[in-house]
Amino acid sequence: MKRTPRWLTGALMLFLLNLPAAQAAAQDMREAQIQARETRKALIDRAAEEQRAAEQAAARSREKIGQDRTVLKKALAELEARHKTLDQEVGRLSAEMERLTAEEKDLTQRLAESDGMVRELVGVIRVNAKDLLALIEQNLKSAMIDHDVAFLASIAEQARFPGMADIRRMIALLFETIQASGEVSIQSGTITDRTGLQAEADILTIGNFTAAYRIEDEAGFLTYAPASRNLYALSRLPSGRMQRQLDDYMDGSSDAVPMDVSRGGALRQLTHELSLWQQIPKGGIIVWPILAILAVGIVIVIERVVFLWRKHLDGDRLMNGIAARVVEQKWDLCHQLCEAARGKPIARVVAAGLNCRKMAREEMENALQEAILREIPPMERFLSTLGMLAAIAPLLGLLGTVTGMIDTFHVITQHGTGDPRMMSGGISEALVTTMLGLTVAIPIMLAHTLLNRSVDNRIGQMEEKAVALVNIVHKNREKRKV
Amino acid sequence: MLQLLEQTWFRLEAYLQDGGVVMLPLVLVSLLMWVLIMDRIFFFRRLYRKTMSARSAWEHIQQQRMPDPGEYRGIVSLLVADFLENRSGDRMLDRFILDERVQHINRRMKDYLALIGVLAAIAPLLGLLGTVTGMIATFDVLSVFGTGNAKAMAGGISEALITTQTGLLVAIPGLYMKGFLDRRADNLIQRVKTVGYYLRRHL
Repeated sequence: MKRTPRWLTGALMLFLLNLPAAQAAAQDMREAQIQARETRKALIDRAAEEQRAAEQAAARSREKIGQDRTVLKKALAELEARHKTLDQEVGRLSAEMERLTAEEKDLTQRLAESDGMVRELVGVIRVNAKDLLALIEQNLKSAMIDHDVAFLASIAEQARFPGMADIRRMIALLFETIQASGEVSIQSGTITDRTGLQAEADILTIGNFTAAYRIEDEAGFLTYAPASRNLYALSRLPSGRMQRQLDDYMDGSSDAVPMDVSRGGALRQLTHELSLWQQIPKGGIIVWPILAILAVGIVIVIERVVFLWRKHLDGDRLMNGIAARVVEQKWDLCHQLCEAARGKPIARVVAAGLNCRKMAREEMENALQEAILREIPPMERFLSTLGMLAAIAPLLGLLGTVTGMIDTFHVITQHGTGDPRMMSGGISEALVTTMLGLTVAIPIMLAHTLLNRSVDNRIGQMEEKAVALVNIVHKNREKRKV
Repeated sequence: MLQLLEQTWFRLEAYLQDGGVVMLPLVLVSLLMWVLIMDRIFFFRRLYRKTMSARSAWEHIQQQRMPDPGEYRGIVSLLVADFLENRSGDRMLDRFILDERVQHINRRMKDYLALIGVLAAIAPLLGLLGTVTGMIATFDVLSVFGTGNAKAMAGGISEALITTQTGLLVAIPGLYMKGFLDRRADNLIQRVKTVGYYLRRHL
């Protein structure tokens, strides 16, 4: 490589030197030719020398190249051998890799499968933990039994991975709760009583449905507040009958006890129950005329009962006495007898009859009839009013119904039927007035009938006694004639 | 048998309790009404049976003979016995005395019938009252729990229906019995009057 340019440079230089010589040949051709010959000789020597050196160098480098080639060949062979083994290695490894990839794929799939299963299982366990937690929290027994539910909460909130031990604990807790919910027990514990204070009481729990308490002589139902895990006494006591039943049951003297299977719904309703007196103001203004009717009716009934009771007389006994004295012609005694029962209608009628004892039959009958007619109006006084009141009361109730319904429909036209609570004002007015109207009318009606009947009875008795008196007097007169 | 009785009692008690407050007056009205009805039935029955014909009544009066209680027990024999005790012997006066006795007997006939009638009339009113109180209970529930809680409303509704039913159950037979007893009383009054006129003509 290096040698070739060296001699080529020599030749080039030679040529270049020749050029100016040729140009200067005009003047001194010979000298120049000699000089040129010498120069050419020197140049040829130098070139030969240089050629030799170059050949030597070439031989050296050729030798070196030969050496290098063998070394390189050796190295090549070595490398080829290595390449071969490496190729083999690569083949082996890629086969292995393929196998492993397949295996990995398989394993990934299996992992995904089992991961899904585990996740599903954990989900089920969490749901169950949540359910169980709710069950225990809602259970009124929790107010008395302190379950450890912290682990359930952490499972439910995904803060903890449930293990087999947790599952076992859950099962045990569930069974415990199930068993507790089937038990009826009496034990003492702390409750919040009706005044809002903590109190010690005997607590009766019937499964997880109903709880009742007894403090001294007060027995009532309890409600359970899951948030505070406390039992509260209902603000209103149950009826006396229920209290007695609770008492008896807690004493063990009775097998039956009222319980609320709706888990508090019925008990809450108990606290909202209104008594009759609380309902009356809900009836609106029509309630007052109805109540006024009731008051007037009561006054009339009392007045009539007192009046009739005071005017009552055993007519048969009086007539027997009169009859005996008429036979003996003792008219004064008869008058005395009537005078003794002064103020009683029958006695007055009989006295009137005795006064006209000497008259003819027809006239005497007329006089008696007149006396009877005089007695009737005071006895019948107020009775027609009472009958009218009995008829008016339900009508007023009906009026209240109608005004209440009008109210209701007003509400409906303004607010629609969406909220039944809005309508309940008018409806309760309608119902309360109807109820009150009937409640007032029924006893007044009954009293009116009884009083009317009693007055009719008395009038009948008076008429009968009048005829009897006429007959007695005339019988006696006939006897005397005979 | 005892168990059946107990069961029936239990059911009855539950029924009464479902009906609420109004059931107590309803039961009392019903009891009083039926006691009176029974009393009247036996009373009229005694006066209705073994009655005397007008002719034999006249024969008894002619012969001054008291009716034999084994043979005659009806209302006419009652009249005859009453008249025989009170008669004067004078023909004209006897007629008036007969009138008096007829009136005396008939006065007792309609006793209690008005009361039975008014009790029968009150029963449906009480039923209606129960309906209203039941509806009030229902609407109370409605105002507290809304329309969602059908179970809570059922108590008031059953109260309303049970009382109405009971009121009608008490009233319908009561009104029928009132009509029956009225007819019977009218019949007896008629019979006494007829015999009274017959005897009056013959006296």
